[in-house]
Amino acid sequence: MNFEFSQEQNLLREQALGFLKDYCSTKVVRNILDGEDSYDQELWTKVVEMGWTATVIPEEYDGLGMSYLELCVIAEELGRALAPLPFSSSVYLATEALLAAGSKEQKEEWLPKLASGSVIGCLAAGEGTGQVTPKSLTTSADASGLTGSKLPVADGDVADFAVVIAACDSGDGASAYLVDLNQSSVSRQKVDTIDPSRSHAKIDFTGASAQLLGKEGEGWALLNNIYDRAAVLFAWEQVGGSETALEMAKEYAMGRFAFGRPIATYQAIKHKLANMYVKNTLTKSNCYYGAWALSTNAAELPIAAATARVGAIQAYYFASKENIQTHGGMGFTWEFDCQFPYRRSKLLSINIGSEPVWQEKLIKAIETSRAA
Amino acid sequence: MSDLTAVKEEVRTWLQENWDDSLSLVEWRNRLADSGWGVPDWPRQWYGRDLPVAILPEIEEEFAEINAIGVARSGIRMLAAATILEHGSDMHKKEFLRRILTGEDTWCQLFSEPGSGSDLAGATTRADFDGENWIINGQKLWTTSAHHADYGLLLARTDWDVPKHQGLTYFILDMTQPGVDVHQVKQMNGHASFNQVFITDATIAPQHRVDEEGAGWRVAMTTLAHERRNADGMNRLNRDSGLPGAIYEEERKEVATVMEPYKWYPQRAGRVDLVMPRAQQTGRIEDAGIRQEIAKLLIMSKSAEWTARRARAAQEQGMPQGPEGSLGKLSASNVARQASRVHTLISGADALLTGSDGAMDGLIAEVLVSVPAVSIAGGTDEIQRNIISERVLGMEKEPRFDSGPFKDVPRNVI
Repeated sequence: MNFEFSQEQNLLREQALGFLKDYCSTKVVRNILDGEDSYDQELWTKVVEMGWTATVIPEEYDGLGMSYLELCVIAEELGRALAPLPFSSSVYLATEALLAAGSKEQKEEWLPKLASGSVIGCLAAGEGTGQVTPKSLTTSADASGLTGSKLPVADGDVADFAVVIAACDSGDGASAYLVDLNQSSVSRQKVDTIDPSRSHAKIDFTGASAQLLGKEGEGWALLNNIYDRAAVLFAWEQVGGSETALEMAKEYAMGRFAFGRPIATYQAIKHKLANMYVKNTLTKSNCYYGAWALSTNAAELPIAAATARVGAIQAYYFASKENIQTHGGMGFTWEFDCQFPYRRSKLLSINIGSEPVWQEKLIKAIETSRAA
Repeated sequence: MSDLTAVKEEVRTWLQENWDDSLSLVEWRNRLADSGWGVPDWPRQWYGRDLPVAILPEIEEEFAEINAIGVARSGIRMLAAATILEHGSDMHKKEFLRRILTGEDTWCQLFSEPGSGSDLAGATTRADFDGENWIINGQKLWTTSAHHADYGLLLARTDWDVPKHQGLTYFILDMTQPGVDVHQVKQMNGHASFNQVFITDATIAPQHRVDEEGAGWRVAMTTLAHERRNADGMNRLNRDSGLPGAIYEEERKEVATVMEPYKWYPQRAGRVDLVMPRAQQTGRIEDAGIRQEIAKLLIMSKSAEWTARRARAAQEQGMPQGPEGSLGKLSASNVARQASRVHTLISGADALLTGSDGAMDGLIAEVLVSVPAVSIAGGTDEIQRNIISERVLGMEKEPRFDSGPFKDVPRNVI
């Protein structure tokens, strides 16, 4: 197993880092936070030109056929830059769903477009308050089409199609469907969230035309499989963001004077930042473990994903809140950038299942592996 | 790799011709010292063969193959040897190294004091030269194995008019002389693994000073660097062979003596290994709250494990050593604390009972009263955070008040 990226992968990182420094400053994040746009279209066009959306899509579907390690590198840098893009929805979730369960025809129809960035995909699983389970699903499909409401759907307002998880009375209690969102029986409404730099929507389906993705009654297993894979990629984004928060705190502490000396000389501040560094570094080790499991389709993936996910949630929340604390009163203003990592950390701690959900998954996975 | 094959062949032949389990432990180890196969990474002139450290495991394998015993590596001995090799005179090497390897002499480390723990350079044990010998007075604390040590590695103050790091000198103290009194210190977990050493007018001959007068801090850093490096290898090298025969019996006694102070260390680390089995045996695994706490613990423990493996991989690739030591220590503290919490949750009221009434014959209770040591021993959590913030993050040191002559520095009254 590798604990560092290869030379080529680090070159990719250098390239990504430089590119995002030029095109994704915190000003770009702020524009989306303050403005009407759902994401930065200029940045998206450039990201697509760099081929990032095509990273793991096989060459037969016009992708680059690279490994998940490359995608982990990109995820870390997008996270570090707090990029206001529908990348995760389209790449970690929709693309993964198609790769995992799509028929040949479905892959041929959607993967080349996802690779070229001409369409954006999203995943619609949750239905409002509480953790979604097969029993709680009210969205369902019959001969007349798919009916139900999904909320919140990340990038649901800008996506061209959605992978929708709907109730099913056989198998594992759910089925997945591919739904073209540009049809009259689909209505969408943008919703406000704690992180306005990432857009979300409520989507209502009223007998929408929908295509089964994978087998009937296997939707729940598919969702969990996608989540296990996406958890690793999100964890890399979270680690990137945690490092940004630490970097912001460090820079501020070194330049800010109180009682005649930089606040960075006070152990109260130094220890706070040391704790951030420790959590970030420990989490990164788990992310390498996750990256390895993801890129090799290892049997340990569920354990590796849960470990990376929970660690990343905790590290990002900790770093982003302590960054605000280090900045004092100014950290709480709209004008300062401290709010960005804080908002993003909260969003990413909830989007594909919160800490308790993944902690339970971990114990279940360990019980299963011990019993085996 | 052909070099390695040749070395392995050579040691195998030598062992075939020389290993003899009817020898006494000391007789055998003298053969090792003469041949250089006991410490192949040491200089040829001093009982070694000038071979690279990297091939030691291969050589150890050859020993293990025929159950041949190695030199006495355990305890503070190897720290003493490493320090003497690097800073000692030829006379020191001649006088001490062989008996370290044979295990005839045992050693201890006299650095920490009642008045200086984290602030090690603030030592106030004094060494005054009376024209003939150095006269030592003071107290040392946390000295493992002092009660059976023949020699001590001593850090003492020889100059009170210079800043604190510059006034220290490194000595070799004969522990068997009058004026050296050793008392065991009982810990809150009931064990007594450390000692307090009272030194009153003990003497050290001038030739038992190590390196220059005033160079003590630099020499002590060598000892401490080896202490960190050795920690990993300790358990691997000090295992019971379980074999019959007089020489193995002698080795067994030696290992038992050395390892005695460490027998509660697994409990100190929190016994994460027992958490899932205990939860399943007691049925507490069905409790949703306990499942969450166990998951938190296992994630912490996994991260620590992966971080250590990542650091090792980086070092194997020749990358410079980073802050792994501090990271490892801080994560070990967190793991131990969470583990003791989870053990209590699983055991419930049973966790209160000690001895044979308690859970696992009191083992779980021993975890609870042993974990507070983890965040203190070998550099407190606070010191580790200073190291990370200063060396990794590049944050300035806090202003300090000990840069002038040591005699004027405010200090503890002992």
